[in-house]
Amino acid sequence: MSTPSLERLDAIDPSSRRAPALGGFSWTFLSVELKRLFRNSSVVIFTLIFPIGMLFLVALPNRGSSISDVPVSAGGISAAVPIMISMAVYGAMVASTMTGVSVASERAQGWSRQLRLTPLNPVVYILVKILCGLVLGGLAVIATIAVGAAMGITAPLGNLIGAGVLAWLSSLMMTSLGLAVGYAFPAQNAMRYLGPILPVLSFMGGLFFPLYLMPEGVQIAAKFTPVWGIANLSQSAVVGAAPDVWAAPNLLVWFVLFTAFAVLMFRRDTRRV
Amino acid sequence: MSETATSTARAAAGAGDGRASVRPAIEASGLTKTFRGFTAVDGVDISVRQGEVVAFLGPNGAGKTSTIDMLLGLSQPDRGEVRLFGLTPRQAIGRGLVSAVMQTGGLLGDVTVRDTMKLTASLFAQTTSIDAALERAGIADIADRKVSKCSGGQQQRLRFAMALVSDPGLIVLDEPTTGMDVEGRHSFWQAIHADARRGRTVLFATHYLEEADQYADRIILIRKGRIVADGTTAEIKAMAAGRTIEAEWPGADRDALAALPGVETVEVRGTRVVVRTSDSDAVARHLLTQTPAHDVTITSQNLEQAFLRLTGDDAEGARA
Repeated sequence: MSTPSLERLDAIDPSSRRAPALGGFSWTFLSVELKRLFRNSSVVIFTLIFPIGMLFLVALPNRGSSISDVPVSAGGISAAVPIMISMAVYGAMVASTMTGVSVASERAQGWSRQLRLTPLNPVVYILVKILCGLVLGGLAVIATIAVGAAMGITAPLGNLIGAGVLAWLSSLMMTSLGLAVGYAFPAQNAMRYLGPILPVLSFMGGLFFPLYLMPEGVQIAAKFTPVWGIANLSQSAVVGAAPDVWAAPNLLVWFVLFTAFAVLMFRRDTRRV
Repeated sequence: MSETATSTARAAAGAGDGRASVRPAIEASGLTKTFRGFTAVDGVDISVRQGEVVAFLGPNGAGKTSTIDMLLGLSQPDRGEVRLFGLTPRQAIGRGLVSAVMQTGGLLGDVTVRDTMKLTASLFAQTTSIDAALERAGIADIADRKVSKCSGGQQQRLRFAMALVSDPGLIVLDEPTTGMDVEGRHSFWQAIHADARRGRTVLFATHYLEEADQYADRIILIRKGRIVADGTTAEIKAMAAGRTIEAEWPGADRDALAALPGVETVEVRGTRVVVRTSDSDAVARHLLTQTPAHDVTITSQNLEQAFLRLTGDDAEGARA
């Protein structure tokens, strides 16, 4: 930012003014966006407090039971570990979905329109939202794993890092879903639709309840739902097992679908504003 | 009169006055916008020189906001073209040459006034200081307040401060004082006027005649999507100085009346003839000395009536 001198304004030579670099991206913009996210109490509750609370309620009581024949005391992996990583995935998912869907209320407040009256490139605006989702999702993952470790729920470091990174990257897919819904529906509806969808998807994906304990029909249906792929990949990574062969394709297909939906809705919106 | 005023503005905007290198702040030609078969804007031409303060005056629904949206590139005209400082609206906005104060919305409730300004400033390549912009908009004292806690008038001043921070050559305001009380309106316009002294071009839409009269150098009147008058405030006022003369005159000679100096329209209603003119003395003298007309009444129109006449449903006659 530089300050133009107080020259007369009635004989402006347009070439004396320039457009910002990077389509208007700035760290100030990103930091104000992050500040807004952290001030939003429901975002903080669902991305940080809820997963950590679940660690206490569900993971902690299962800490002693091993998922294999090797007891936890002898270095076996505790049943609490996949629960912990599931909660990390859930936190990252909610963080990024809520970041994405915030465009709905910004549209309703006329903020998107206001931004169209600045040099900011609409694509940069979306990238800032994605970055915010990644920052918040990353924090949710790190906080959940750190609190888990403090409780003594732990796995080999490599497994934790691998699973944590997978959980974190799942944010990208859910930011797309949030953006798509945020651009498709008016503000109040957007949250009303997403509110119940996330827990249902998480349940079907096996984040809240082990899928192998469910009827076979549900297990098969679950493999077609969007959260199953990322849940299976990260749960497998943390216990050091091979994931289901369909887990990666599931993640990829849903990522592409959600992103295409988001791009479509975004295009429709920028035409209309 | 509308023709002469427009052509004066055009001539000044052109190359003839030794400022050939200065591009007009706004050049719009043939703007047309149709929404589901309803033509909201119908062939609007606007040319504004740098440094002019122009009121875009018209009743609600006349097409002001639709026109402004096209000027700012928020919507694409079905036909016609817009150039701001010789650039497309998007390019001009990208370079911080143009900013706008919209009627409502455009603010985040969960952010403070200062953060809103910081965020806005961060999007431009060149800006003035945030404190200076807040000062000029008259809200330096509430910089740390959350936007949702600000009154309507304060939010409007914040929109103005946001518009100032890129130090644009042109500010477009869409009905900026809607919902403000008289005092707030007055001090808001004082801030705008103080700011325009540096030569900033201002185009503001309003449906308050008074505002146009007090704060603009030039008024563009729009009605049903068409420009019906375009002239300096003094010229529009001269139009308002016109009078209506009525007289009893069965079988009135309309052509003779229409030929008198200053006569705008002649209407025959039964046995009465109604003449609108800028020179009522000449018409009265003619009626009373050259014709059998009697029962002559003369009424003067105020600015309000002129406005209604130009923008109301029976406006066709006024444009003849």
